[in-house]
Amino acid sequence: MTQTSGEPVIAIRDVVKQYRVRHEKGRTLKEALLRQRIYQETINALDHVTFDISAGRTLGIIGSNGSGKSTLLKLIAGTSVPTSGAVEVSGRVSALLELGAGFHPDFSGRENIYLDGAIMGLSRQVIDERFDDIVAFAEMGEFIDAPAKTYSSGMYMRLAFSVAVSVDPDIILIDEVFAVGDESFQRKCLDKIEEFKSMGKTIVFVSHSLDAVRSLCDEAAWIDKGRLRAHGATSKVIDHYLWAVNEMEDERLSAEEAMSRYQDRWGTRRGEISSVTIRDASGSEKHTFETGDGLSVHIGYSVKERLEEPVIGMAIHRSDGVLCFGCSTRELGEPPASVAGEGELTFAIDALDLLPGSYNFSVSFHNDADTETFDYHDRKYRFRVVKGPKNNGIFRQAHRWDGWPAGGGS
Amino acid sequence: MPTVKGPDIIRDPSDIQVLSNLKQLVEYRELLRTLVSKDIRSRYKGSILGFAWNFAIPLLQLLVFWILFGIIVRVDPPGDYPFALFLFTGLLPWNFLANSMTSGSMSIVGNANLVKKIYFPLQVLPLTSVLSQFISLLLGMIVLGVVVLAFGVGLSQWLLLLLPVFVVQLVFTAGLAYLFACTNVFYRDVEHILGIVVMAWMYVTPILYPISYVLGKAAWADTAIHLNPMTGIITAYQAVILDHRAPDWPWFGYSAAVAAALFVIGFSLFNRYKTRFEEEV
Repeated sequence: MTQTSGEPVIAIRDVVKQYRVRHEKGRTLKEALLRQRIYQETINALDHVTFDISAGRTLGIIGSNGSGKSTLLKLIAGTSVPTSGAVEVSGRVSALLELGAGFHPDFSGRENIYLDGAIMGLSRQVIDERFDDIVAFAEMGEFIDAPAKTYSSGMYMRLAFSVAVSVDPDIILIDEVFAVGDESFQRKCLDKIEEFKSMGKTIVFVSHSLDAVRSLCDEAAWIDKGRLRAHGATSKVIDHYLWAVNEMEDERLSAEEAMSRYQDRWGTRRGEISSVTIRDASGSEKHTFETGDGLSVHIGYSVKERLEEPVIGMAIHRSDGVLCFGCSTRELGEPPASVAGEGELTFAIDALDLLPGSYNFSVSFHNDADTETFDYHDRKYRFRVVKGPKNNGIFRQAHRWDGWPAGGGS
Repeated sequence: MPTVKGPDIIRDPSDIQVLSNLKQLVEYRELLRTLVSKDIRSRYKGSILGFAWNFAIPLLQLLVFWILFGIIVRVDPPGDYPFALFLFTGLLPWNFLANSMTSGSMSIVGNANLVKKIYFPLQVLPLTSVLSQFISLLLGMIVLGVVVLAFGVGLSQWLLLLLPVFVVQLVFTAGLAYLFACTNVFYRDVEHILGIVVMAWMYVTPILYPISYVLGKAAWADTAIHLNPMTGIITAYQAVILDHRAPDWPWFGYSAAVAAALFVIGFSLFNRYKTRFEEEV
């Protein structure tokens, strides 16, 4: 049965879930009797989380691994109870947390449908009625009477998903089910979710695929280290999340760069590249960009003795080794007759044309005749393009489409 | 909030009452039936004899006893039937208890996947182990019935009393299964200790020897052997099936009382702690 939309069907009230983390699983009798604990600490998987989910809404839960997303789903599903606080759920819940948990490999697909269905709370009579639909949706064909252990993993997942969605729940919990299965199966799952949405069912969806969350969910909640960081309109929450992830990424990349400072470097060192920093348009050091952003590389050099006809070059490689772009001061014309002392030059990009991906900068200092390399920093400096237009490939080719009717409207 | 619909969303942690938890078992009887049938059918899956093993095993056991105690070492039976038959009558229900305790103690720990990921009343799991072993007992009883007829012991109206004996043993066994399923989650030592306990327990229960060997020698021994609740149950089987007489009512009544108390204790303890299983398995 469907509920009136707008009414909260899941209420999470100041929920704390603590887990005891132990060195070894299971307490032995000796420990219990002597009240010994070799090593034990509690972690708050969820830390005072409060929010509502209204009937008919699709909520996406995002957050990094171990942030408490799955714990939240387990609390809503009822397999776990909060340490404090309350979880109120009204309606029949179907949790697609673990597909095929009730399957027995020695049994046929037919028997497993009844077994898994029973565990999910379906009566035999109901399974009888829905049997043909389940088999058809899973595309089982004649395999339905073969033992489940002979199935390919794809078939196994299809059948399990098929049983799970046949429960006809009011509330559906989905935890990364799409991580398995081929493209067409994933497509099918998404179609099924769309169908549930149009039927006005409430869906809670945990995923690492922000695109999936963006396209499916009306609202999103971001859980970070057990705390609810944001809850609201999907795009707002995702942008907030991405911003925070980028900040962290930035820290990580600069830490990695510091680690690798004296590797991947060779040359006679008669002239040295003393510093390389990547900055954004505002001039602050940065490692994550979006396509179209301004970017500049500040290259400091120091020369002890006078160097004749020096050239400074740079290159951008994608993380898989593809050379995306390279250039040098040669394109400015004749090299200077000589340089000495210290100096800094800037390589500036007004609008970055690279599409999302990880990239490395190389900087070289050599003579015009290419007979001597003074200093070469090979792919030492990393940056990442995290967001860009819906194009494929390495870079954004300036382009135009003509002659196609305008979309939208009616 | 609208009211909770459907049996699958009762999750008040304070909900430890025996009756409401029993009610859930009734609501989930279909799941229970499916799981028991899965358990029984998967036991001999892939073997040539398949389901027939359920009959073949007790029959072969009986054959071994027959050769051992009827031919090699001649032991005098306590009544008008072969000693092997006496042994078999006590051992069948004992095996039911012993196997239920071992598989029951593993019923939560061994189903971690279900416990963690799917919501259903967990009290279904230990009972599944017990009922599946109970079906084995019933199948063994059919074999015993045939053999009893073959040896000319005959059947009597006293066999009707098997029904209350079954019920008492079922309640007793279920109580132990719940107790050990729960404690094993927190102390994995339980599953290892059980094997020894069951063996020792068997020797102090009149299965391998008639109770008459013990009775009348010392007053304390009379009381001691009867304090073992399994004595009343096993001797009831022997009385009803082999001796065609009523069980020793006072001691059988004592066993029934212990069974009921044990069930309430085991079942309550299980339901008291079941919400923590998910964290521990």
